[in-house]
Amino acid sequence: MNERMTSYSLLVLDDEPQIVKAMTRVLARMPSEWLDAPCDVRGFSDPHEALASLGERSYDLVISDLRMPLMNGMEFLRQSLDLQPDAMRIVISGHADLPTVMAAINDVQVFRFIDKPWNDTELQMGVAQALRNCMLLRENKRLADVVRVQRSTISKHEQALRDLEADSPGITHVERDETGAIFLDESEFDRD
Amino acid sequence: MAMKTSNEMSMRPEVVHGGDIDLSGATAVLDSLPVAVIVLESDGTPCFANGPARRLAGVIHSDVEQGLLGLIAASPMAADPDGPKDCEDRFDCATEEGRTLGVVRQWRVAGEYGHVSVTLRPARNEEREDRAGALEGKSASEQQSLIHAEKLATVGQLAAGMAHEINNPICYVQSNLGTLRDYLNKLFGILELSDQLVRDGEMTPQQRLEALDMRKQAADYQMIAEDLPALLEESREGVERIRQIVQNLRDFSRLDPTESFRLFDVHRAIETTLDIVRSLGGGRIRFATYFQQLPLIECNPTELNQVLMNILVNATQAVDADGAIEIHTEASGDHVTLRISDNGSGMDAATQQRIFEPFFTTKEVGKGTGLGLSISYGIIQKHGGRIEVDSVVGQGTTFIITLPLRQANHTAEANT
Ligand SMILES: Nc1ncnc2c1ncn2[C@@H]1O[C@H](COP(=O)(O)OP(=O)(O)OP(=O)(O)O)[C@@H](O)[C@H]1O
Ligand SMILES: [Mg+2]
Repeated sequence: MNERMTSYSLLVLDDEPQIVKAMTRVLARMPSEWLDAPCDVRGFSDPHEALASLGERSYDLVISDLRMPLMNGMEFLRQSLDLQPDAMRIVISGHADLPTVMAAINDVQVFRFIDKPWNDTELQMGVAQALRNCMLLRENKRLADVVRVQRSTISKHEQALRDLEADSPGITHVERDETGAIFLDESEFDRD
Repeated sequence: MAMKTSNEMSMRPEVVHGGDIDLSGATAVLDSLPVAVIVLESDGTPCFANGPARRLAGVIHSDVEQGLLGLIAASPMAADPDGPKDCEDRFDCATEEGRTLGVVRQWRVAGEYGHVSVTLRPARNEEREDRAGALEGKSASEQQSLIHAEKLATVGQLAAGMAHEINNPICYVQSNLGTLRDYLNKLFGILELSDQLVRDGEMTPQQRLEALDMRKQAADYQMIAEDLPALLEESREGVERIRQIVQNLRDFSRLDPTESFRLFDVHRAIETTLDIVRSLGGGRIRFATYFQQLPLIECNPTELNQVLMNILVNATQAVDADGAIEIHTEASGDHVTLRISDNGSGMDAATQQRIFEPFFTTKEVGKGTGLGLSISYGIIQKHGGRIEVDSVVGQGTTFIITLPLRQANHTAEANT
């Protein structure tokens, strides 16, 4: 959906380095039918280092464990939401109870929960969906911006014309001191 | 004997449908429990008591039915406690967040029977909590079964920690196996292609090389070749971790009454136990060992493990966020000394006085049985050793265990 996309940028956090590596491997062999670009995964086992990286580069998806000795996973996700509100978030945990799940969805907008031990296909599918969703949201945002810019341009023209006509009817063809220049410029612009 | 064991044992407790509780089918299970369970009607009269409950009732009253009523008297539902005679009686309300969980009652019976303890909880019957109450109790009849029950309780507490500990390696080993299959498929693909290329008489060597290289690149051959050794090593290490956890658990939960005294390495006992306890404390507690050269000592290794386990579990429960637990060992003359220190909550003098009493606990219902230290005390005594405590409120606690190198009335089979 986006031709400029060369790879997706992912952050994986788990206090167990071997789990980070295993997940990275699974994401590296993501079936190409599910995703239009490969996943570039950065793995962390220290939440503070992960936060530092979130402050430095932009990510499309953040995947985190919940139970970690150095920092609570929810706290990490909350901070990641502040740092990168546009990124998707996935929780991967072996013991998520209902209150935690609710807090994760309501407070930190987690896109998906994946159980531990995970099923490789489920993990790949969840990640692919999250990334597609991320791109869709981004595309929506971009389009909305374009529409807004166009609308404001149009309304600016209309307003100027209306003001002028109200001020002195028929003036659109007459050159005047101050507004004349703007008017002519804009009518030229209008023809583009 | 003060109790009427044979009498009660032959008497099958009758099943009554108390309120909404249907006990049919559950009686055999209830009878096999090591704890006493009494189910009450909504008016507080007993409708069912399992074997241990009846034995317990027999201890506090010569008439079992009267004894049962005496036990129930401690229930919050029955107002008038007609406590048993000639025994010390204490009871406390256990509360959680302002709600009463139940009553913990302790009797200390004069005579051979020793100590008994009862935990009363309102039975939770799905719809109508007020209809019935269940009463659980424990009687310290056979030391052996008591020790085993206590061990299982501790193992039960450990189970949650263990599950987490085992789950992590399972996660990555399982996932790595999936990756391995993917790698192998790709490698076999390359192998098949090179097989075809070799048999293809029309291609020039240059063309063959190019075709092969292209395939290798498409299959990420370079990456796979680099990652494969790491993947295998990590997975092997994961399986080893699981094996170690299971091994520790087995060593610990096996109770072998026939196991005799033998020459054993105290440090090995400490390491095994620490492995288990570490997983319980997660990453937050710092453990340090200061071992001096120790000779082998003549002891019952399973029991020694259990003593260490009880003391270490208590220590992990006493410390908070920046907990530290140290174990010092030293040998002098004909004995060895182990010091296990924590920087946790500590105990006041009154508590210290009572910690070796059976069923003495300051922990909430369901968390502590209060048996850990009394059993440890018994074991150390049996070994001809001493166990002492040194504690300051707010600063921490040290348990000092002294054990003789040789047992006076046992001969070691001199195997290690
Ligand atoms: N290291 C310690 N620091 C502070 N208090 C301790 C320590 N060890 C034991 N205690 C106190 O001694 C009591 C009795 O300990 P004991 O091990 O016999 O039973 P428990 O720990 O309460 O229950 P259980 O061992 O069955 O889980 C504890 O409830 C606690 O109050
Ligand atoms: Mg204990």
